[in-house]
Amino acid sequence: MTDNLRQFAKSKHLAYVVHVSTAENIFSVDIMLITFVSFSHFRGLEDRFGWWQEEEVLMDVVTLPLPPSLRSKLHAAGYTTIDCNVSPVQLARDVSITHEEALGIIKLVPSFNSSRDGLGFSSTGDFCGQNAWDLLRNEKARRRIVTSCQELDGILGSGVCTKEVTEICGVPGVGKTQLGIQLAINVQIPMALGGLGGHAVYIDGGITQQVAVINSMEKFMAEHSEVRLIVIDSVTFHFRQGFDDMALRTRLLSTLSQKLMALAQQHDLAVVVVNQVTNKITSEGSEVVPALGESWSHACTNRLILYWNDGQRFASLFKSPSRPNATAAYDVSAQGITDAAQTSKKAKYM
Amino acid sequence: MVLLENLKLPSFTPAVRAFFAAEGIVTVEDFVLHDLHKFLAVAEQSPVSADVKEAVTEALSYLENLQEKWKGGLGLSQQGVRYLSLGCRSIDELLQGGIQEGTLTELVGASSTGKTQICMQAAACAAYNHQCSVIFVDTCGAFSSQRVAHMLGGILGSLLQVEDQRTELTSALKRIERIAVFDVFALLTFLQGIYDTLQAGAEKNRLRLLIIDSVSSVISPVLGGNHSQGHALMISVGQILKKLAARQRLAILITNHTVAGIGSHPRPALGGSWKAVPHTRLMLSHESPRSDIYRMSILKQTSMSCSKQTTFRIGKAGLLPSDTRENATEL
Repeated sequence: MTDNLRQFAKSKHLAYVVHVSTAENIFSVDIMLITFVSFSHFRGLEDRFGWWQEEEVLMDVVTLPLPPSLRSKLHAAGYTTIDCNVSPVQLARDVSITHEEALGIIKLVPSFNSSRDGLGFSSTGDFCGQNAWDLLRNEKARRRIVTSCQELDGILGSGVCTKEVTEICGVPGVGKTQLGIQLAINVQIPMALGGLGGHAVYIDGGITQQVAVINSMEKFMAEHSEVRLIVIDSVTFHFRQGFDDMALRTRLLSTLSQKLMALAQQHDLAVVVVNQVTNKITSEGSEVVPALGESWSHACTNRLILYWNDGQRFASLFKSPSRPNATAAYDVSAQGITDAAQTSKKAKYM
Repeated sequence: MVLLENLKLPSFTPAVRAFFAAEGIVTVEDFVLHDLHKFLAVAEQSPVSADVKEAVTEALSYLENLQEKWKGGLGLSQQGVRYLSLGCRSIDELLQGGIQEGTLTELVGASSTGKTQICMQAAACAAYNHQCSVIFVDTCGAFSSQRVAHMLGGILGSLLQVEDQRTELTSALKRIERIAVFDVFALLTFLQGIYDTLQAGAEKNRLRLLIIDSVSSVISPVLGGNHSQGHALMISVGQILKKLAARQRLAILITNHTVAGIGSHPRPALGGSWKAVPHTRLMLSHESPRSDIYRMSILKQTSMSCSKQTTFRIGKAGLLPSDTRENATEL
């Protein structure tokens, strides 16, 4: 009899609840009340016979972004994992928190639908997954921001790319700010002429302003969707001094770089960060390397180092996911960044 | 703490529950810790003794079914080990076949030493040679599908006609899925989601390789400081990765960066607690700043000597052993 019930319910995509008068033997009940309810109302229903079960997602409490006070309250009440089907009333009572807080906690637990075929991760709510073929087509169609120097564009792959963070570092006076300003102008080249036709945001100033601006950038981008370039000049100055706690500096830099990366990807921007250089003492002598250390070097997608050699300015690309390392010569003139005056012999590295 | 009544065992009637509570057993924890002989002896005297005994047996068998079954050595050896080749002879020789399925492999290296290139090569190789799905979790915007296409072109080489090449390339690229996450909570949610999906739909998925580039960029912002939540989050990431590798037989490839170590040798980031998480740790370094030759050495491996090294070259069409001349294959 229960098999028939099961078949019927399955065919109509319904869940069923069987109320029994006694719990002893399901087949010898006197009164049996069968309630057919629609699928959408009882998502979390667990059938006694177990043929249809919503996926119970159990998330560890420690992996949810909760304030420490709430987390310790949950641990004290014995909750080390939470699933999305727990009742807020019970949770609020057990943990002695307000109903709103309990609802907030339950909202953080994701609920996954196991009725998908295969791995359609791109359909999972928050995660924008794309397969590499679509990405390739998008990448080929993406326009780039030219730097006004053909050789430099060549090594970058026809210009600075959106959805990426590019770092420009170099000694003072070599032209980092000039390059930043040139890019801020070139991003406005109209689409009819092959440019992006977008706006630029140039962030200059003290560290507190920088961090505050980047934090509020999400809201800013919602209002100004034509922005295609953000230049931060420079990120080094305030991070180099005034930091006794190096671990704190590393954390702040890592957080900053992740935020910039997220901004670039989500709003289709190019982010250009200006950095300085420092000397590193190695066994072979001293070497000029970008400032802010190892942890920062992983933050950027592309890294360009600008330097002088024999009276000529050079730009060297030394980190890129798709372009080989290469060097280009360029000049700074009254018109901005230009091609090198004469084709001098290229230095491989400094 | 799970209440015994939440197990929804059929024999757990209100009368039985009341009896259990009278003896001080309300949660599963209490049940497991209680002396069952004494409990059953007390149950003998009560009127619901048969029900209580039935409930105890049912609860015990339920708990036993939750455990993993023991596996014998013979069964394990017959299970076999599968490797996902990386498409570069010298690296595959070093790793005795490639990335081992069911394990977690970590690539450690300073900036610009080829970690992302190896990840992309692994994705290209798995998608084409092994015809399986690949998920690439990108936390630092480093995935370049053009580069992956070049690498696929290098693998396909001159084997096929141009039209076949294009269809093969397209279908291989379609098997690689790239997800962008930017903080550790999103990463944990995503990994949990993959685990639950794989648990549910076992026969349909052909996912064999999961790449996370890079794990350290999402964990560094939370690690350290006054409270230890960052550390707990890092360990949670490690746990779920190991669970995915062991239970779902995935090959997982992650990247980590380096921090300054003693002397001039860089050491892997994320500290001592992370050392135990990956099964295999490979250190990458640049031979010299001017060359395109890179060195890979084994930092940790359970079945190989830790002093083994190899070199490879990164060329236009992907990774090559350093002793071969590169053919100019353009896409």
